[in-house]
Amino acid sequence: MSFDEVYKKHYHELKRFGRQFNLSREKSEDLIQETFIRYFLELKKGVVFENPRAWLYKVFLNLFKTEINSSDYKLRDSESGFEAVDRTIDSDEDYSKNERQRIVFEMLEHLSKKEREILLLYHNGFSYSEMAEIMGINPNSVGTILVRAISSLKKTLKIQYHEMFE
Amino acid sequence: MKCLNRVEIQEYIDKEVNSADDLKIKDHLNNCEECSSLCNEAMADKNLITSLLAQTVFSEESFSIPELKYPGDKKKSYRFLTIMAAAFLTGIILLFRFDQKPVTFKIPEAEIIMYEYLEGKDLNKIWHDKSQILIIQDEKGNVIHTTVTY
Repeated sequence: MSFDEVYKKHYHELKRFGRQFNLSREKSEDLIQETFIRYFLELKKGVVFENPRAWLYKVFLNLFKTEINSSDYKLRDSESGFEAVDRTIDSDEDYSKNERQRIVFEMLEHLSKKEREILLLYHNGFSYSEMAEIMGINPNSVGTILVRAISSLKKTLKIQYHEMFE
Repeated sequence: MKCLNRVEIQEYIDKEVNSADDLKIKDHLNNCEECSSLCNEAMADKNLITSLLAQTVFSEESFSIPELKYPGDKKKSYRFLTIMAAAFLTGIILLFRFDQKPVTFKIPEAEIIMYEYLEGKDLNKIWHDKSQILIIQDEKGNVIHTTVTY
């Protein structure tokens, strides 16, 4: 698959993935650019990718981690996340959808970084071995971390937000 | 086959077990009520997580894909450097140009009056009294040299 094909195929899903971490649209696009530039450079070096999708997610995730660890960057900056959601909504249905979205982001923040990452990768349809590769963890521990993440999320849901999702 | 733990059940519902194990687990679940209910619970959890995380997907994103800025495309950074250099040079030129203002001293009038009062006389008088003015004239009366000595 050519570079352009990979770029077109995975651009949107990477952007969606970044937004699932509550990254602002601009920051998400910056990280995607950086990810694809690295991919491009690797191809130029002659590297053959068996699974470009997993590689792109891995690089994107690492760039994201570097970003949140650097300077005074905040995960939920003023331009990102639910701030970006249109506030001029009219119907109750739209309002409750935005409210649910806000709550799910809040719930995810209760989890550890690893749990949040594994749940979002799981949601994006990766296999256990791919998740292990992307996160740089032992493939045998993927199931354990995933189960722990699911039960943590369920616990948060039960304790704090049960009435929203009944 | 012994009963399954939660992780094994998760691996089973995510189809992460090999086909031989898959058959064994299926067989076990048909015979073990406890594991079967645990499996149903895990399935319900999976559905719950899927529906919850679906909320994190933003629907307002545009469908256009921007062009990738390939490495080596440094136009932007050169432009920035040029602007910075021009601003720096302009600053230096302006600094030298406006720095050459004439320096003027203004002795406060009150200070002069105070000295005059203390001395009781015109401060310039001392110098006037001691000065000698020498004027040299030629035969026609033209001044050819003047000197003032104190």
